[in-house]
Amino acid sequence: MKDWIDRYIYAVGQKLPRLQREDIKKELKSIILDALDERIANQKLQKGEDYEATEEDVFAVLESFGSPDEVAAKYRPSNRYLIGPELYDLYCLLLCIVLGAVALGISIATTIDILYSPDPFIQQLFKLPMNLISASISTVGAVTIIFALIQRFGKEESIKGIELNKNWSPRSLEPVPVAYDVIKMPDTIAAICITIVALIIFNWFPHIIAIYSVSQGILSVTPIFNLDVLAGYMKYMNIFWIGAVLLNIYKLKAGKWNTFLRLSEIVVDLGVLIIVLMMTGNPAILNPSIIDAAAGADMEFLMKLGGMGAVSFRIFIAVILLFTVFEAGKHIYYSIKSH
Amino acid sequence: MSNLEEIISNLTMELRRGTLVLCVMSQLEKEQYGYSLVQSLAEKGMIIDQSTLYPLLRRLEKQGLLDSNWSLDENRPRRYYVLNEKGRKVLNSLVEEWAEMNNTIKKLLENKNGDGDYERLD
Repeated sequence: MKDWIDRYIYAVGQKLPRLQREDIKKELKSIILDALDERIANQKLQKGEDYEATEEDVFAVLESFGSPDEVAAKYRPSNRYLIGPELYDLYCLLLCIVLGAVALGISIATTIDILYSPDPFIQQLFKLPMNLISASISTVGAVTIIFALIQRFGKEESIKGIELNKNWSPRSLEPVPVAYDVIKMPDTIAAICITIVALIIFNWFPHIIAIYSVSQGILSVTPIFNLDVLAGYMKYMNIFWIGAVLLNIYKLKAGKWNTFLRLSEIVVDLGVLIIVLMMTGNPAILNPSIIDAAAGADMEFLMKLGGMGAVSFRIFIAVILLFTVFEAGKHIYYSIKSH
Repeated sequence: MSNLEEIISNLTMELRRGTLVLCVMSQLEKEQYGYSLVQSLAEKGMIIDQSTLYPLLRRLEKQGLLDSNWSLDENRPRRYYVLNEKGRKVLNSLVEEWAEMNNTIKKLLENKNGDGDYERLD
């Protein structure tokens, strides 16, 4: 007779939690042998004392226990989640948002890269799908890891949204949020998308932020930024941008403004504003060859363009400045008002 | 399996699942090893899947309601389980709870003239 029982126990053992594996295997073996003894005793009653056990008896006993997967599954705790049902909806929503934003950012950046690359178009063609696939895989991975960590280390009560306060009474119910306290989902989702697109372009494709000009049939691409200087600022910018993404994710879950969220929002907005101001105050951030490029082209036209650029640039900075201050003021006002 | 049968079988399973712990604990005032427990439950009409019973025993042990030890006296080593002090207390409470529940359900299922028979709702 072959070692069917050992095979069965080994197969179950492979799927058991490591710590209890040997103990469960030992117990399972003793139980199976008991069941087999019982079956053989019954067969002897039916078919006479000289009945010899066959493989069929072993099979019948093992079948009565069920498949190894099934048996092992019952020994494992039932609530083994990578991402539990409480977090799953938020996980799906965020995965869609982040994936969409990453796909958009990568598509824009790679397309511009391909269109203005000196290499033959055909050679470049595979770049877009390859970039999309690899970016999507790392995005799914990153989001999943973050959620798995929250599931693993987060407090059960806070994941399930259960109040730790056991002395609940209807009196402790929070008021229905007034309109200005409700966080608007579409705004938040848009903010996450835009921030991610900016993160992708400024970190991995800063060279596509460029002046594209054709003179005498030759295309010239001149990045606007001095990439090394830009990278120096990006270190700090990334902190605030990633902070902004995390903050917006938290806003999706919270659904309602509170003082902490408003303060965090002000910190992130001001942080981004300060870095933008520092960048615009530093002439070295511009690509030195922009001036050379300008010299090579129609001077008068470019001067005019440059003049317009400078004015609209100042207006742009002023708008950002005003907008940030307005937003900060709004948050301070509302957080005082709601107290 | 028809849809109706499937629903009935699922609901019956759920109904039984809740009573398993009580059934198993009730048989463990004397120590028993796995297979003897299956037998003693089956003799009294409680057929329980082996692959359900043994993990259940381990869970009850982990919760501190059962003690277990390997006995090497017989022809093969066997793991014996028995209720401990805490387990006996829990069993007593469960038995009371069951009696109460049984009474309530009986009342709920009695037919209108109160003869205690269940009325089939066809």
